[in-house]
Formats: sequence, C-alpha cells, structure tokens
Amino acid sequence: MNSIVIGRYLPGHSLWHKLDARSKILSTSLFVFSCFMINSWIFMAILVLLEYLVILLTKIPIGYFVKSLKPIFFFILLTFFLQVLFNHQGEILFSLGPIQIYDEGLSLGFFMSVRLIIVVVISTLLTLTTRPSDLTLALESLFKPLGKIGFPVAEIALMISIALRFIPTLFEETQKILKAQASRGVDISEGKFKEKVVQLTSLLVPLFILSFKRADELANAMEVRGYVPGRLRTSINQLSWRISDTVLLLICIGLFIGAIIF
Amino acid sequence: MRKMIELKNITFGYDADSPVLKNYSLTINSGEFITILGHNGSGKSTLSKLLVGLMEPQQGEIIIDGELLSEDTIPTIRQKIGIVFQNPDNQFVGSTVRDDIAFGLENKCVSYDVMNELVERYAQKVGMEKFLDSEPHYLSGGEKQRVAIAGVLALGANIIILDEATAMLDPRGRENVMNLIHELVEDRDKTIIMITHHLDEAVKSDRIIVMNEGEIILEGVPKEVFQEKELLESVKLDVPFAVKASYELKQRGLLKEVVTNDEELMDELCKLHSNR
Repeated sequence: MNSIVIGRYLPGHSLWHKLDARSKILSTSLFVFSCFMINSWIFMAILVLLEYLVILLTKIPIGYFVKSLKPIFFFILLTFFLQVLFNHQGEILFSLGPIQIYDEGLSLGFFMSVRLIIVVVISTLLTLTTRPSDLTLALESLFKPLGKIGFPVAEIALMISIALRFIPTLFEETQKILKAQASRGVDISEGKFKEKVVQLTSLLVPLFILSFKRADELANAMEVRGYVPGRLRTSINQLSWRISDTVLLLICIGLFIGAIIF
Repeated sequence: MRKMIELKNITFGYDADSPVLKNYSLTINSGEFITILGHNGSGKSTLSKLLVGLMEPQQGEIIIDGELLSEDTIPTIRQKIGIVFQNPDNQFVGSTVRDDIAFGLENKCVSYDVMNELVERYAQKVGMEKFLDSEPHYLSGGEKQRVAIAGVLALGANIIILDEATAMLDPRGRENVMNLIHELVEDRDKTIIMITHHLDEAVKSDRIIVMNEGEIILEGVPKEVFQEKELLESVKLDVPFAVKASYELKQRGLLKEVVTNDEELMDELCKLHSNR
C-alpha cells in the first residue's frame, strides 16, 4: 500500500498545505500549461527552481516524488530516446553505423524528459498536500458554472470522493482474494498468457461481485442518512481564499503570460 | 409509556410464495432497549429494512412516532430513525471521520458552524475525537462502527437500530461498541433496537424478542427468555455459558432458576459451596 503515491495525501502544516485548494488547482494547471508551451532552457530552469522551492516549503521528502515517477519512468525514457534517435536537426555529435545523434535531438530529448518530470512532480505535489475532500470540493466550486446548464457537478464531485475513498478498500480486498485463491492453488503470476487470463477471472469475478454488493449497501446507507441525488447539500469542509492564494495565482498567471510571449 | 414503533400485521416476502415475515405485529415503547434475536434467515434484518423504509411491506402498517410510514412520510421518518449496518466499510461514505459523521447533516443542509459543533460533540461522545481527520483505512472495524453511531446521533435520531452492528468485529471491537451502546441505553433518551444472534449481547436489554422463520417465537425480559434454553438452542442460537451451566444445575435441583451472566453464576456457585 505504501508504494502507491497517486492520490495519497500527507497531512502537513506548511504554508503550501494551508493554501486554498482552488488556488492550488488553478496554479498547478497554469504551471503545467506554461511548462508545455515554453521551449527555452532558461524558462525551464525558472520552473524547476520554483518547483524545488515549493517542495522545500512543504518539507515532503524527495523520495515520495521519486516514487511517483516510477510508473511513468518508461515513458520518460521512451520520449528521450525517440528524440535522441529520430530528431535529425542541428549538427551530428556522434554516429555509429545507422545511429546518428544530433545535438538538437539530444537537447530536445533532455528538455522533454525534464518537462514530463516536473509536470508529474507538480501534480503529485497537489494531491500529496491537499485533502481529497478539499480537492473534490474545490473542483465542485470551480465547475459550478457548468451546473447552470444542467451538468450534475455536486453528484460528480461526490462520486469522485467516494471513488477515492474506496481505492484502499478495494486494494485490500484484491490482496485478500489473491491470497485466498493462491491458497487454493491459483497462481496469477505464472503460466502462459492464456492460463493467466483464465486465472485472472478467478480474481476479477469475486472482486466484481463484492464491489456490487458494496455499492448496494453503500447506497442503502446513504439513502437512510437522507441523501437525495440532485438536492442541495451543505458541506462540512469550507474553502477560504486568502491573500496568499491571490499572490500565488498572480505569480502563475505571470508565468503563463511569460510562457506565451517567449 | 409512549408507543414509538408499531408494526401491525406485517407480511413481507421477496417473492409471493415464501413470505419472510408472516402477519407480524410488534410494539416498541419510547426509551426501550430491545433486542431482536434470530438465526440467519429468521427475518430479523428484513425487519430493520422495513423500519427505515428501504423496503415496503406487502400487507400491514408501520407507525413510527405516531406517523404512518409511507412514500410521503419517509423523509421525516428518516430524521427520527438511524441505523447502523453490519459491514463497517460499506457505510463509511466520507473520506475522513469528520466528513462521515457530517454526511447526514450535510444532506439536511445544516449550516457550517452548527455542523462543526455537532460533529465534534458526537465524536467525543463515541470517543473518536482524536481521529477526526483520519481516513477510514487507518481505522479498525470497531472504530468505524463508532463513527457510524456518531453519525446517527448527530442527526438527532431518537430511534437507533443496530442491524448486527457487531457481527463483523473482533472481540475487542465488539466489546467497545457494546460498551458504547450500553452507555447510550443509560442515557435513556433513545429507543434502541439491537438485532443480533449473540445472546450474550442481549443480557442487558429491557426486552428480548426471539424470531424464527419470520415469526416471534418467544418474547420477554432476559431472565424469562433465558429459562427457555432448549427452545433457544432449537432455533440455532448459541446460549451463553452461564445459562448452560445454571440450566444443568437447575435440572439437578441445585438451582432454582437459570442465571444470565457469569457474575451471577459465580455468586450462586459460592452460595452452593457455603451451604454444603
């Protein structure tokens, strides 16, 4: 369980933790957009530095971000090598038989990899430092205008929060079923592809049945506690926009405009 | 005594041929702590679903706090009645303890300040005030059930149904939840209906109702009900040790009546020993 970083929240008391979830979502999005628009190394250095400063501020060990990069490590490598091998611009730096490496290809390869890394790190930073309930509340608040055209914003926000809340529960259940099936001689990690598929059903079928049962019981529990879809609800969580949020948003808007200009 | 719940000639079945409840009538008074005992398939959980309006009886009437349960009155009746289900995980809606206790209040559109105060008060009542920001997967089953009880209390329900709320807990969790329930019973301002198949949880209740195949087969105060050891065992209920032992002693003419808990059994044994 501890190896999963996606969607996890680490409680903390830094200035960054205390920021309004809306400003964090908006700023993170602007940061990501800027990151995809720029192509100068100087600008990238500024972004990396800013991100590093925020990480220092939150006091979250770098290890968490390294872990968050693991699942996409392959894509970073792929991006890098595609650029290095197939971008034939600039001068030849190195050539070995059919392989020719150009200086611009190499530089762009590094650039794209850095870009991917800082995008993933900043997104991880958002979920690590924001309570899931605040995150869904902020999304609900940001998408509120869509409600006017009949889009069920509040229901979708509740769905997301329930989905997030059940990830660890289902993960635990999967482990339990795997062990239960292993004790009956099913080994999902071995055998030919066809055998694996057959054996996977011994995991998926019980998992699905149990999930439907869970959903049914959860729906009952929600109904009994007075939940009616589509009806107005209040919330125990409140977002409060402070000056620091405005400052952060302004900085990111500045970055974004800078990214468009350069 | 004011009548809190009245069931009049209820018949309910998932299919027409085999009714789960047959012509079932029951009256529960305000402030009563009542235990409904029964083995799997006795109809006891169906009863709880009927009471909270999750299912509708084919025949008969349910009157709760003077109001007839129907499609129109369900919303008001649900404010008076709270239920804690068996599976601690499948009724935990919020992403933290605070969110979950507040879930019902949010549905009732309670204002932010009032909600915070209520959540904190009832978290304290169930001894979970230190875990307000904890996520459910860091809590034990017993802790989750206590949160569920806090959620019901915060809504101000005056009837609490515990539908096998301790069945999936380990012994320590069960003990914790039972202690909390007994505390609530002592406050005497709630009507508490506990549905279980553990006889030892029923010892402190005001009245026990034993169900089998959709019918009430035995009803009375714990002491009376426990005298019927053979009947209880015939409907697959597991009788506590004190009852078994004192029943045997009674059969041999050593005791006058069956006792219900270990302390009483110990007293009786001491008396027997000193009388020798």
